[in-house]
Parts: sequence; structure tokens; C-alpha cells
Amino acid sequence: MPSERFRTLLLTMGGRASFIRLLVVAVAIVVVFGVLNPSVFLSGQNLQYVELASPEVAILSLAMALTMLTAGIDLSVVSIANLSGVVAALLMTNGQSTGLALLGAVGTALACGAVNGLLVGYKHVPPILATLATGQLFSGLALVASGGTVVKGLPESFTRIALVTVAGVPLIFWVMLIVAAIVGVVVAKTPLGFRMRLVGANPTAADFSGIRRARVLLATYVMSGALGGVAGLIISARAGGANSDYGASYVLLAVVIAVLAGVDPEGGYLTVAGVVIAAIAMQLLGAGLLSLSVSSHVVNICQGLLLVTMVLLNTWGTALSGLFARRRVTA
Amino acid sequence: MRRVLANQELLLIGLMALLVLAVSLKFPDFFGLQTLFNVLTASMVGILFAVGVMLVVVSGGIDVSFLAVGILSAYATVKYGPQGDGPFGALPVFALSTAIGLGLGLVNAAVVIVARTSVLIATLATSSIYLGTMFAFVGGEVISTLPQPLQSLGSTHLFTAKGAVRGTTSLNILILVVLVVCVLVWAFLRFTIAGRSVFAVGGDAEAASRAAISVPRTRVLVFAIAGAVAGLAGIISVTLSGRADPTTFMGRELDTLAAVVLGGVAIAGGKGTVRGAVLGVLLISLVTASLVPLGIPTIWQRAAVGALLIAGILLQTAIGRRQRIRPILDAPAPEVTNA
Repeated sequence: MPSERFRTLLLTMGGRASFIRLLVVAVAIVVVFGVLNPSVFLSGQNLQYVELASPEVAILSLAMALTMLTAGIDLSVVSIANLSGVVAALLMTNGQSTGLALLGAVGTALACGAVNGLLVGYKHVPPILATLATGQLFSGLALVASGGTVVKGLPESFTRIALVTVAGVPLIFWVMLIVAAIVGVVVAKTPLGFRMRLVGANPTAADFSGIRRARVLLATYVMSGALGGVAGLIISARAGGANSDYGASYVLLAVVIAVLAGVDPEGGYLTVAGVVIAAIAMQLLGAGLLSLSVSSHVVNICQGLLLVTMVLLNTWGTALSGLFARRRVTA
Repeated sequence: MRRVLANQELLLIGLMALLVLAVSLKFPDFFGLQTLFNVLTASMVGILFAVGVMLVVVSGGIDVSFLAVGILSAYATVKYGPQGDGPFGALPVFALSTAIGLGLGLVNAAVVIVARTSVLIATLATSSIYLGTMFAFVGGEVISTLPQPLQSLGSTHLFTAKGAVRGTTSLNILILVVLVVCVLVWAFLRFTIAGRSVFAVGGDAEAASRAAISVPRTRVLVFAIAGAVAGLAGIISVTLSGRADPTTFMGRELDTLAAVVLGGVAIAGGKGTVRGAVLGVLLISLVTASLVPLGIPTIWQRAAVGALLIAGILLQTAIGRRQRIRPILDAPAPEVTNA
């Protein structure tokens, strides 16, 4: 059915209003900083920086957005990333091969995700509580495993991942695009994705239509955990080490990006393209402000203001457009 | 049995007693004034933050900006506030910090009400604005010489006793301030109409507004009180540590939320007590204090609290399954009512 296909396409592309709003913001950021400081902002070096810094943020935000799709939240995703990074780093520094370390990291992330999923799905713990507690536990375990220091001395075969470029674009940027595509396909095209959307949109209806909610939630949190693991590997490859406290502010940033992208925190709606664009836009905003040589703390202020503005637009935007429409009719 | 278990506060007290007993069997010295004073001193600031957060959570929302409010109020006060030894000593300093906190709380309330968004998202935004403002415009360096009144207050002790092994152990006089705030908030929640409205709004904003409770007014009040308490907590923390370090609380939001949850405050709103929040903080401080005597490296503290939290939550949900689980990012006033 063409109309059905169009709707699923739209779902991965984002709802029209919020998606256009996001695009306007992203383009505005590029134009404003491009005009203000073209020699720095539009330089290849700056672009390279954004390409390298976006993937970890985008993947963490995708993990957050996935759980928001089912009307949940994953506050533990950064802890999972750090724990996986520490596990991989420890395996590598103890003489294991890089491949085994990657497997170990992903396995750890899957296990962590499964713990979240069991608590949320089968034990009916509210997601924010469950992931608050497990986040504490995972980062505590990472702290113990790493001994409270940065695990250094990673082999070159691993840190190279962050440096390799394919067709002029960093490998990790490709990884981000591939991960996003997989998430998009799973959410839009598979039965699991359909169930996840329904569980988020209306859990009661999902129960009555014979969907096993616990199983769907388990799968969601395992996926979210796996994404956290991938992000953790990217983070430690870029940093050349792993520790338990890396990027504590990413939890908040991931929520900000998901909301900017127009993901509905009350569930039922996810836009993969929106999340990726929002993550890149946030990095562009940061890079742009820094290119004007303002303090890096002004970036924080601007991110906060941007979030407030977007939320205000989401709340009052429709009322405003209604105002315009009415005016057109009377004129 | 069910009723006893359902009383989370009794459970916390039992757990604390068990912990003290276990450590005291190994080290009889542990059971004494020194441990009591240590735990109380370590908990003072946490208790104030937890009481403020508890108020917001009961009114139906998760505040993550309290630490930013606390440190910004305290840091700005120390930097720009009265420095000399005025006629009222430290009083103006404390009042100023509390007032700044109150103002920042009102900003939170304005964002939540005007943008009609969840408290979590609104305070995420405001907290990065507050922290950014502090570092960009107020300053980011540690101030190690506090105004004279704060210095003398920091070394004024209510009790001083002989230490268990050697030296002396003491309890700062500011514990009285913490106590007064706890009693005031408790009385507010229990005896005033506005206080009862907080529970009503948190339980069901729609029902509360139909019962002629002004939901926005209640929210403004809650955020104002929570902000003021956070501002007070910030300046107390600065006074006790003897230095104003803007990075003191960075990334510790979840720790306070964990204590509040352990204390039996329902994260979806409508339920919670000052007593519970206080006990939650005390338990975490006691766990931290007991790890070393129990032969567990302090590095395990976070993992131990996490495991404890999971156990507490599992128990809470296993008992309270009758309660409807609702999405955590619920907008303040849900427009769709479930049939």
C-alpha cells in the first residue's frame, strides 16, 4: 500500500512540523556562524571536528530516543557506555585481541540493557527509577573495575578506529549513520518496531491486542544498552582510554537532543533522522560558539536556551500558526 | 507483615540499625558519638537538597536543577555579597543566598508553566543555563578565603566530645538550621492548605484543578520553596567546607534523587514525607561510613548504593503494584483522561 509506505517513511523522517522546525534551526546555526566567522567555522578542520565529535552523542541520543519511544527513559545509558569502555580497555590491556575486547564490550552492554529491561518490563519498575538505580550500579562497577583511574595504554589497532577515514569521512561517522539506519529500519519496518510504537502510544491498547509488553520492553532496553556499548567503544577509541566518569553530562545532552529532534517523551513517536540532525546541530552550535572564541560555558547557556525555545515552540507553535491561518481567512 | 514491609521508613531504620550492629560487633568503637556526628555532618547538605527535591517530586515532577541553583546562589553570594563582619554576622550572607535560590526557583516555575513541559526537561534546560552563567559570568575559580562571618560560623560547634580513639569530634551549629528547615517544610506540608494542595496536584493535577486548587500557583510555591532551600543548602555547604568551589556538586544530581527514592517518595508524585527523604540521605551516609570498617574499599560505595537502590525499588514496586504506572515524563496536566 503506497499510503502506508509513505507513512512509515514519514515516521523515520520525522513529523512534518517539528522536523521542519529542527531543519530551520540547524540551517540557521550554519548560516549565522558561517557569516560571523567564515574562515574558522567553514574550515575543513572545524567540519572534521564536528564529524568526529557527533557520533558518540548521536548514538547515545538514539538510545535515549528508543526508550522514549516506549514512553520510558534510559538514564543509565552513559554508565553502560563507560562500563563497556572500561571492560574493553581492561581486556585489551591484559593482552586480549581487539576483536575479543569489542565482543566483551558489546556483551557487557547487552547484559546491562537486559537488567534494565527485566526491571522495567517484568518487574514493572518505572523506567526512570530502574535506570537511575542501575546507572548508579553500572557506573559503580565501572569505577571498581577501572580502579578509579583512566585505563590507558590501548593498542593502536583500537585507537586507529577513531582516526581512519573512509571516502574522506571518518569511519566513526559512517558507524553512526549505519547504526541510525538500523534503528530506523527496526522501528519503521519490523514487527518489533510496530509493537514498540504501539506500547509507547497506548500501553492498554497494546495489552488488549495481545502484545507481550514485557518482551517488547526487554528488547527495547537491550537495544538501548547495545547502542550505549557502541558509543562507549567510540568514546574510548577517541580518548585513547576509558574511565567510569566520562561524559556524565551526556545524559542530559541526550535528552536535550531527543527533545530537540521532536521525539515525544510520552511515547509512540521517534524520528531517527531528526535525532542525527539534532546531534550534529548541537555540535555545530558548540563549535560555532567556540569559533567566536567565547567561553565554553556560554555553549551550555545556549544549549539550555535552545531547549527552552524549542519546547516553547512545540507548545505554542500550533497556536501561532493557527493565528496566522485565521488572519489569512479574514483578509 | 505486608503493612510493616510497606512502611519504607521503618525498613530504612531497620536497615540502619542492622548496619550499625554489624559494624559495631566488629569494632565496638563504631557505636558512639563520633560515628553519629560524622554521619550527621556528612548528611547536612544532602538533607536540605533532598527536602527541596522531595517537595518538587511530590508535586509531580523531577527537578534536576537543584544543585546548580545551590552552588550558583552560594558562589555568587560569596563573591559579591557582604564581606565584612556586619552587626548581624552571617545572617545577611545566608539570607542573600536563600533569596537568590528563591529567584532561580521562580525562573524554573516560569519555564515549567509557560512552556507547559515536564519538570525534568525544563530543569535540564535551566540547570545548564545556571551552571553556564556561573562559569561564564560569575567565575569558575575556587574562592578559599570566605567572608569572616562564614569562617567563624564554620568553626562554631554545637557539641564537642572526645573522639572515640583520639582527638575531639564535633557537630557544627548549622545542624540546627537544617533541623528548623525540615520542621518548617514538614509543617507546611501537613498543616497548611497550600501544603495539602501539593499532594493533590502531584497525585492528579486534573482532579486537583477541578477541586478548585490553582495548579500554577501551587507549582510556583513549590519551586520557590525548593529554590530557597537549595540556595540555603549551597551556602551551608560552602560554610562547612571552608571554600567556595563551583565544581563541588557537578554531576551529583542522581545521588540526591536516589536518596529521595530510597526514602519512599513516589517518583510519579503525590506521595512522600520529609522524614523519608531525611532517612534516605542518612542511610546513604551511614553506608558510606560503614564500608571502610567492614573492610570494603570506599571505591565500592557507588555500586553499593546502586544495589541498595535496586533492592529498595523492587520491594517498593512489588508491594505497591496497585498503583498505576504512568509515563515519567508526563506533562503537568494530562489532557487525556483514561476511561
